Amino acid sequence: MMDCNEIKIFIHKVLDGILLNETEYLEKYKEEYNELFSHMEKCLSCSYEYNSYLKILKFLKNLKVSLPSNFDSKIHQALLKMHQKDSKPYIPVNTVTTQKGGMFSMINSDKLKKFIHDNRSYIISTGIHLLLLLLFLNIVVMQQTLTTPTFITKIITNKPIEIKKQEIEIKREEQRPDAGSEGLEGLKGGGMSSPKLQQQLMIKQAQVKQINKVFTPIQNLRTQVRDIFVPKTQIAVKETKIRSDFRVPMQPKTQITSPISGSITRPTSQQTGTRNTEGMNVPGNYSDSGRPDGSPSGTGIGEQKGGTTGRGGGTGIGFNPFGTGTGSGNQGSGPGAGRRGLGGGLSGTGTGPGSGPGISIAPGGGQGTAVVGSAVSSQSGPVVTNAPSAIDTTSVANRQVTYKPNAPIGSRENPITEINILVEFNGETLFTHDFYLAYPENRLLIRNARFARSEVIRLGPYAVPPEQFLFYWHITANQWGLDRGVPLYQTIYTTDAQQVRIRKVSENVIQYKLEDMPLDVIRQMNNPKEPDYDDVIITIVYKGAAQ
Amino acid sequence: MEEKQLILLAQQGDIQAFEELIKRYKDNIFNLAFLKVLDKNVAEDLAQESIIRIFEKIKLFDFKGSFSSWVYKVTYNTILKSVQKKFKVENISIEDTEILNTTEVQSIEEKIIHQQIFKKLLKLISQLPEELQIVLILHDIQGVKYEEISEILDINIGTVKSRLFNARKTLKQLCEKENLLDWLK
Repeated sequence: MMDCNEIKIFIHKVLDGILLNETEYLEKYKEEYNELFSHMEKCLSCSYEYNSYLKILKFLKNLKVSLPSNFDSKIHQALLKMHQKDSKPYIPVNTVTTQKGGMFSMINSDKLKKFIHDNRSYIISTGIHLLLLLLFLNIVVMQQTLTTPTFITKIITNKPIEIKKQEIEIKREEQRPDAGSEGLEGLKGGGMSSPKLQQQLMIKQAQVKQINKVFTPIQNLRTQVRDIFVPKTQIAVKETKIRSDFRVPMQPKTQITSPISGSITRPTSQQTGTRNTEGMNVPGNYSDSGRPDGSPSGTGIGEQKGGTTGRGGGTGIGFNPFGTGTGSGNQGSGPGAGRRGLGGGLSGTGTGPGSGPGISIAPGGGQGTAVVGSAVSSQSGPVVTNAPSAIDTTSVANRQVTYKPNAPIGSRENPITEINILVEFNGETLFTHDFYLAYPENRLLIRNARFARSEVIRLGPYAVPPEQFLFYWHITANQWGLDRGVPLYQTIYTTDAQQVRIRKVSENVIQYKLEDMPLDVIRQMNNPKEPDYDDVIITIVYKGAAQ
Repeated sequence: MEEKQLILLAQQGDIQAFEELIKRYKDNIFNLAFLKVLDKNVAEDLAQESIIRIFEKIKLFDFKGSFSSWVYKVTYNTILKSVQKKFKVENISIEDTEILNTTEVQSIEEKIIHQQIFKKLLKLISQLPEELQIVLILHDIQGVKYEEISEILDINIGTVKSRLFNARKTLKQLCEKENLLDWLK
């Protein structure tokens, strides 16, 4: 029986067999394989381990990147260029193989090169031995004044050797009693040699000098031996680098030049007393009659698509906590909704009072702090009898709802209950990007997207279409690290058309791409670049209750 | 034509034979380059460089080992040299890369999610130490066998196995840290 540690090692063998589709392999370990599975039925830890590896490896196995277009032709051109630049003439293979006596043909030259390459260790070894032998002989010749063998002398000097002439035998003549000793000294001696002897001695001396000239002791042994053994032409295949003209120029990267569709433009003001059902309507849940409240001036949802009921005179949905908007109050069509808006806007100038009932979904997180404006007119706006339906989460929970699998996601029949978030982070690592859900509830989803955490979040159920979900990034920039005029804190909503690109992938998948550097900062930079909208890419899969 | 014949012809300078030969390996060469640099343009450049180098060196191939191992070896060495000299992997975005998926993906939605997961996985793989990373790429992505990896990297099979074990373990830990396992099916 294998224990957990052994099983965890054996898992890899099984995975190898599965991944390589080696049935023989699995047959070989059949017993262990059965044991593994019976073990995993009892042991959750090993089962988790096995399944995790299997998931990862199945994905990896399918990982392939498509070849770029024209890859083959580029390779072909590069090969041709290289061949043309080659100094050797191109001889077709057929002619090379049929050549007779191809001693100097390309193929033989290649064979020679190959032979030398294959046996280079032997050649080097032989060379070293020969070198040592020569060195030894040289020492012997120099130190013991032995005659250098002719062939060695030839090798060393690389010059023709004159054959040593036979020494002439000098016959001794009778000398006068006052004559000195014979030989060279005799000339200097006390007596005179005979003229004939003197002449013979001179000849001998000249011959000795001549022989000495022919034998040259080794001067620079290493150089000379190298000259002998290293061929004049380079034999080894030289490593060549690809010249720049062989390379095919790189294709420029594609850049996003136009905004991706789906972004929402932001009107700066709203029409009085009109209702626009296209908007992301967030009615309030307070039925408040005609208070002359100033409308909030934030740039939140409510300001996106015109006026709605429920935003009438109330402190509604100011998303921007700094309240930079300039909206004017509604003409009282609203029910004074949104007292608990998602953010605190600054006050606007109310023109209320509004009237009429409102229904709220409004689990807004922020505290609206609108300041009451002064009433300009008491004229009431049109009463909206058919307010956009939103769900009170508490009431939905208690109500019998029949879910329909084919119903559009985010509808009453298929409300959203889960979002799966996949984060890809490519941005500045000195920044921290916290990702929040703003609507239909306010909630931190991912703390610091730098670590690119992916999450599965349960929420709702909300009968809100995916495109009406609102998110925002709260970005903390490390100004000290960058000093590029980046605001220390900034909040960017997914409705910010300047900083965010939205791509609706399918009915229930939406991708949000963030450029975290403010565009005005980018423009002021020394080398302004196009925003790439890939600092944080968030893909959200919305899942409905009926799925 | 058999591979051996093609190699012999290529060794004699036959470009056509070489091209026929390299057709069988170009995908693996390009993919290996891509997995190392995570940039399609750079990978294309590297793959070209590797193929030219293979052509230059093919005369030295002595049929002692398998040709595919030899091709991988030349490619890997070329990539390593270039990466050390020129490219910094960590700054390269893989956003523009279309990753093929051989599994049967039904909808566009699934496809885009798969793409995102692949990219995340690639980034995690690039965080592995070099010696673990290459073994994982060769074995688990490219399907090269232990014996061949041993030839390519000049290490013994035991070392290959232990490196692969560590590579998988580290990658699994990274996936857990990133909550990526929930996304893998």
